[in-house]
Amino acid sequence: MASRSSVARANNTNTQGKICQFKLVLLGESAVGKSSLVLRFVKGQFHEYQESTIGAAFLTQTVCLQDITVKFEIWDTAGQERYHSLAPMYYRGAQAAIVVYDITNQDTFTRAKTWVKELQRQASPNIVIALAGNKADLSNKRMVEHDVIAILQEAAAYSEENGLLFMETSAKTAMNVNDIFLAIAEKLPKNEAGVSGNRPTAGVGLAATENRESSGKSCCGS
Amino acid sequence: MAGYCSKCWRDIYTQQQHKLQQQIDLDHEYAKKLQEEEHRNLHPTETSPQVSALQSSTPKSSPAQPHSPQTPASTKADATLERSFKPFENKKVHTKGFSGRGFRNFFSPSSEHSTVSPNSVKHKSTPQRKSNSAMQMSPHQWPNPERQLSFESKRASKDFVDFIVAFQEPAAKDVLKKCHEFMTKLTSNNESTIDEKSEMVQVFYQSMTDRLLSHPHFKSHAHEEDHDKIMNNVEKFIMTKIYRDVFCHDQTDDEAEDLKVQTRIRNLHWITAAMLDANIDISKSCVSEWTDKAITAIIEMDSKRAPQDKLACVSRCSKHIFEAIRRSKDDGSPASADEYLPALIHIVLKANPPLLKSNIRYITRFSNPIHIMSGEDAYFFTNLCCAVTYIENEETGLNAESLSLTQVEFDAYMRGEMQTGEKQEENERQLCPGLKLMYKNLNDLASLHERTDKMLEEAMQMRQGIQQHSLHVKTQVEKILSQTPSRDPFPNFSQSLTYVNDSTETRRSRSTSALDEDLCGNDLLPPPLVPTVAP
Repeated sequence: MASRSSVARANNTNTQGKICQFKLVLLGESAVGKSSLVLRFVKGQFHEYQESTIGAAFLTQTVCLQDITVKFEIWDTAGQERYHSLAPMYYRGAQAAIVVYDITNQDTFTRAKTWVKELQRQASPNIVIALAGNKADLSNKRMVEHDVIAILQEAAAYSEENGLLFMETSAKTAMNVNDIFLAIAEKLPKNEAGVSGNRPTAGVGLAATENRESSGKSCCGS
Repeated sequence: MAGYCSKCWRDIYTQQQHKLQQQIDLDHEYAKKLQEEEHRNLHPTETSPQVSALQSSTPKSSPAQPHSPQTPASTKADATLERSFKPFENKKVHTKGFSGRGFRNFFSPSSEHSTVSPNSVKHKSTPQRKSNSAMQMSPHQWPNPERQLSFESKRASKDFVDFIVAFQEPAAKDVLKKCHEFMTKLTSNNESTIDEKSEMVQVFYQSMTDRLLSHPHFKSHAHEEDHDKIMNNVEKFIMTKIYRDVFCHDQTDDEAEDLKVQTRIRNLHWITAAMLDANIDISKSCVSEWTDKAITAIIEMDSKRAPQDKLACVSRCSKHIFEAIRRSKDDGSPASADEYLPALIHIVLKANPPLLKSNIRYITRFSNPIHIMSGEDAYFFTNLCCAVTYIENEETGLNAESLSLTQVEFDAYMRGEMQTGEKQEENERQLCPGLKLMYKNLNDLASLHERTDKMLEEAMQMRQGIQQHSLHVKTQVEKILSQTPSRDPFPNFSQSLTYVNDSTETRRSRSTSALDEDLCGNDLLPPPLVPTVAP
């Protein structure tokens, strides 16, 4: 179980010199536990929800490295297949991504691989990608043991091949949850100070087609 | 935006000219007041070159007073003119009332200037822009007459001045001067496209940010929070002021796109939350309360001018959605994006917010990038963009396949031939209690009727069954008897059976005779034993 000592809980972001802010997107099939993972990381919660936590779709958390404070801005995405085409709008401008799959479900791993491919092709070139095999607490319970091991081996090999960070996590037991975020924080380049004021190009993913023709109207605009 | 015929155009043109005269005076008065206020609030004794430069430059450069001061005599002349032009104004308002945008303006808050007829206040900047090019006049000679008359614009000026006086003089003056300079530059440049204007605004934000960091005036306000505050207020002030010049610009296809999205949403009104995978249970009153709030918030977006105010509406809407989802669930766990995005799409479909596309494009073009690149507002805004893209797109977005319907079903819904259960429920919710009770009773009666019919039918069936059964038994018995005649120990028994349905009396007599017959056939047998009395 990971210790949470290295994760700053709140409001002590100014104790260290440099603060870097990063946008991190969460990708993965629905119900693989994306939001549970984040809730565990940000609030330390699993299934015992506080009144204050309204949504788990957008959360921030600060991590302290040796001399740098890294502020994660975590953007959750809708995992359903039908909303897949909207994903580029989310990961545009993201510096990091966690692709989550369920270790007891081969399909979610296949889906995760398509996410990774898409990120490598379309996201910003130096994006840090981590692969998280979630629900690790179920590894010896539910499925036939060797299936889980097969996926694990495949995932490890795949991550190695593609230069991804890879960990098996459990939002339920908190296993590797902080570790994966810390690993990302360490891997992120810190020279460019987080979100700089670079201007978005043509719209937030909306096709900004500028048709110069004025709309035809009848007499006197009535 | 609208093409006017020559007659209507002349009406509008003359009317505008008159109003221009009138408004120039008002502009000047107001600007003077503003300057005085600013000056009073800052140290009046200090006459640094900056202050005097601002004072001398502002009356000419600020869009608030682009004309030289008018004499009181001309104001009087205007007053008489105003009366003679009243009919034109009324006509104009009447005409504009029918066009979509004009109608909107008609309802927006009217001017506080008591000297101006309320009817004359509202009209879009479009005719002015058209007139500029039509009359080949220098843009500087054509101030935008409504700028000072709009309530929001004046409010923004006041708020900005109130905000900026809290800072030390050189800094405050500098910011104000830069803003005025920029707005004059932007509004005087009528030829530039919307993208150029967007670029100008973005460059201005950048230069302003750099200036706050580097210029010696701002040394005493070196805190990042101060900078954020200043930039926020600058953005709000500028964008509120130039809103009508840049929102839903007539060079763009924004308006056509708005209409397209609006029509599409209207056609998709039948989609239920369940079809989208949205976990919203509207039948719970506490949930529908929050969805109503979310709908109100997203509709409200169009009424705001500053990009950050519009973004705040989107965020408010989203938070209400999260609340609605949480109340729909039994365990009260916080909603994830898997639930939030479908719910947002559902809310957008239910709300059909006005000028949706224009608003989104306006925010992307003119918002300070820090608001839409990072932070919660950015996240919610991105989701709204996603929702709109999803709704618009028939190929990869909302279609039969993504709703798990067949194309035939989808088309039937689109034509309104099919209604979803939710739609019917919704219709029911709108009825008064009396009608509801009546419908309930009618429903009960109908089901009662149905049950009676069913019972009668069953009774008939049962009767038939009984008849068939007796017939069956009869034939079975006959069959068995006919198959085994030789071994029949009671040859006459079958005969007696044929009279099963006869009266008991007949049956008894027949059986008696049969017994007699049997007795007659016993001649060969030895005589029966005769009882004897033992000795």
